[in-house]
Amino acid sequence: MPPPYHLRPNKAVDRHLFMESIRFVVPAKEMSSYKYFCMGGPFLEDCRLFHEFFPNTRMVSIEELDWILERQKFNKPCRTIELVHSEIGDFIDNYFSGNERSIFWLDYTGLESDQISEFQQLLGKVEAGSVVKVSVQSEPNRYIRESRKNGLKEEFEEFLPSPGVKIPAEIEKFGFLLQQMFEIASQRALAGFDLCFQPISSFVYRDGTGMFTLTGVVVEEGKESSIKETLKPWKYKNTDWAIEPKLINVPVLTTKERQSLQALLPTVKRDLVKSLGFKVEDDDKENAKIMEQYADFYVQYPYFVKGVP
Amino acid sequence: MAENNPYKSVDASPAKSFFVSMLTRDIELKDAILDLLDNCVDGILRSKKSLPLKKPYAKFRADIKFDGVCFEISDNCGGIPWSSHEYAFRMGKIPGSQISVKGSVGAYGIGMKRAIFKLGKSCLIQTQNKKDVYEVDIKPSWIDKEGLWSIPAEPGDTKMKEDGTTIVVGNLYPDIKNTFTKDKKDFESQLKTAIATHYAFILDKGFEVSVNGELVMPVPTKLIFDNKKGGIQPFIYKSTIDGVDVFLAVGFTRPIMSAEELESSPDRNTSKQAGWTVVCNDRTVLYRDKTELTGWGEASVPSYHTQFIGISGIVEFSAEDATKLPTTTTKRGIDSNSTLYLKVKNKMREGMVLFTSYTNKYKGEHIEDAKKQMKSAGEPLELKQIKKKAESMALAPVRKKDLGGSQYVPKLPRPKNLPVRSRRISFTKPYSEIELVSEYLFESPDESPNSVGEECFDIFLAEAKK
Repeated sequence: MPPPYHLRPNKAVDRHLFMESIRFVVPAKEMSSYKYFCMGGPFLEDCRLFHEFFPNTRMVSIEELDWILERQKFNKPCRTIELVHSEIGDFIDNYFSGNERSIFWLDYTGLESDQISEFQQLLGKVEAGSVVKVSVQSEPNRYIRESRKNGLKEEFEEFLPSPGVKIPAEIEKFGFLLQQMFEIASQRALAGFDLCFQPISSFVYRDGTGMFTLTGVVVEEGKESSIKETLKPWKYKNTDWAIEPKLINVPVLTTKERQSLQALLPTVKRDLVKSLGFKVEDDDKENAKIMEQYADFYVQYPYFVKGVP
Repeated sequence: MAENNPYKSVDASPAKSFFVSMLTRDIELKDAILDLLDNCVDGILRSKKSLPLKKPYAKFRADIKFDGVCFEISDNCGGIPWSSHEYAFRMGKIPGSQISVKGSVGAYGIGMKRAIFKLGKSCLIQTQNKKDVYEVDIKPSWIDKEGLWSIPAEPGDTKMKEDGTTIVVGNLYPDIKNTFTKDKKDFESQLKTAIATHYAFILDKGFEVSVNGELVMPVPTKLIFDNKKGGIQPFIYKSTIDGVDVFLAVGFTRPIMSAEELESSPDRNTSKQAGWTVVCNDRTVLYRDKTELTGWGEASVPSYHTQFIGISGIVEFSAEDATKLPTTTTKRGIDSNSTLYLKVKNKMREGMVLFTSYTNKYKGEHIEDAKKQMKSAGEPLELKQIKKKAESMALAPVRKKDLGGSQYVPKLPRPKNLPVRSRRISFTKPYSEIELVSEYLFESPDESPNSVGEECFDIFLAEAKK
């Protein structure tokens, strides 16, 4: 079984990075005129974090299952969340922006062509300046068998960069293929509009199941460069479709280990490996890589602490 | 009488804007680019007296590049001999003129010009064919000036490594520029797919095409062909009708699906491989069609429905004289009134109905038998492999008054009327709940509803047996 939803460290990092990216692309004084739409799940974890970052922005969580909805009512982290009982596809079908800018997180768990279609439909409906994040499964291991590869190609034929494309076996490369598919989907969705979908970040991570997540802003044509300029200081950006998504793979560390590393961070020397005096991964290369991951994402990495009631 | 006629005559000369602005509206951008590729292939046919049978287009290539500034296509396909300049550059073919290129699909003499005018307002064409090295420079002022029809040609500056043609179109129209910049990835993908499918035969025969540096690989249509008699095999028909060679094969391209499987896979994602592909002189002019145009819903053939997702067919027409082919001016469509096509369509329906009735017989309780039959038949074959097999097969002659030629009618399996020993269990549950159980049982939310249901049943069956 994958780890419980709220204890997925890589997803927690991704969630935090999402909030950071919003700070870059939406001016603080305009945040209150935005509305955040999400698929918050039973714990509404992203709503909790969103509210910490942006307390004056209204939120809407969309949930299909009524028993989870009941749980959400209990777990609501604040008053400003509207809980909507709907399937996400239906919600997008009926969505009308009313000239209001929005921040959407289409947080899917699987990978289906319908999800890309919903993403496309949404892009055609949101106002310029809106932020859209989409997460889908990025699990190349599911496509090792030739028949599965062909099935994938058949299902996503219309979004593939070329019909002869190879299905990669590595999560980053597979995520990159998905990124190209979303690029094609976004261009098709906005063809004929004076708008385009400018990516701001893209990540792959694996908490049990591999995931790909892409965030972008719907901007008026010609204004892409100003978004890129705004994001320049943010080291986690990916504003270029041609660049592979960044991997998030933080190590599982004890609080004691983290506190000992804390004094050295931020570091560019990547000398964290030595400082601990022992390895957290058996393989030296893997150990170095994962410590570098820690150095990259320690700010966004939450502390999971066991509490006894 | 004539002296008193104040009306004299009317001017019926063509307006240039008709060619430049109107004709270009009849064709999609990617089809216009395919027209340019057709010219490359014509170049090969023109330059080679005899082509090797196996890979006739090997060592020939065309490179397509585009960005917000210009569009370029360059090839090594022999160039345009000065003696053919009339055909290559005039707007339309002169009646009674000789067949320009044997085995071409270009019958109207409009493709290259229409493609250029679709893209932009200026164009430089450089070509080299043996001793002929020349260039033709179309400027925006030429396009704008009514009545000016001649374009100066000049000797080329530099000699190319190989005989061939390079066309560079500039001053791109705003829509085209937009497509080449803002929607570049999308258009690139659409163009590559169009080349991979419409040029599948030509690419397979050795021609290489790259789009912005990436080589395009062919996507062939395949049919299941069981070597065992009485297994799943295609219906085959071949003939030569009025100077046109016809080869037709229709059968199953993939196993048929049960109602449950169809329900869980939305139509648009599962039906892609089904339908008819029509090929004229190696170019695909119709791709996976599922309408009345190819006989679906006509005579005894039912209309296309997702239950027929396994049925696919190919018809190939080849002729030295392109005017005899049943294709439209855009070369990406079928002339549905062509007598030749209407005759062949009878055979398409005759073949197709074998497979629709097989599907109808097996789709219910016998579906698993059908799947086994198709699985045991091995890998599906490409058309060239089917053609090769057909050479050594005993095809039955078709009466001349019907159409002539010969055909192979497969004896498809029939379900055995065994007493039903099992019963179908079918029920509907919310998608999210199926996902939840799937996650619980398989550690993945994406197993098919069928597998999830079956696994639940098996677990409780084991319990019950204890």
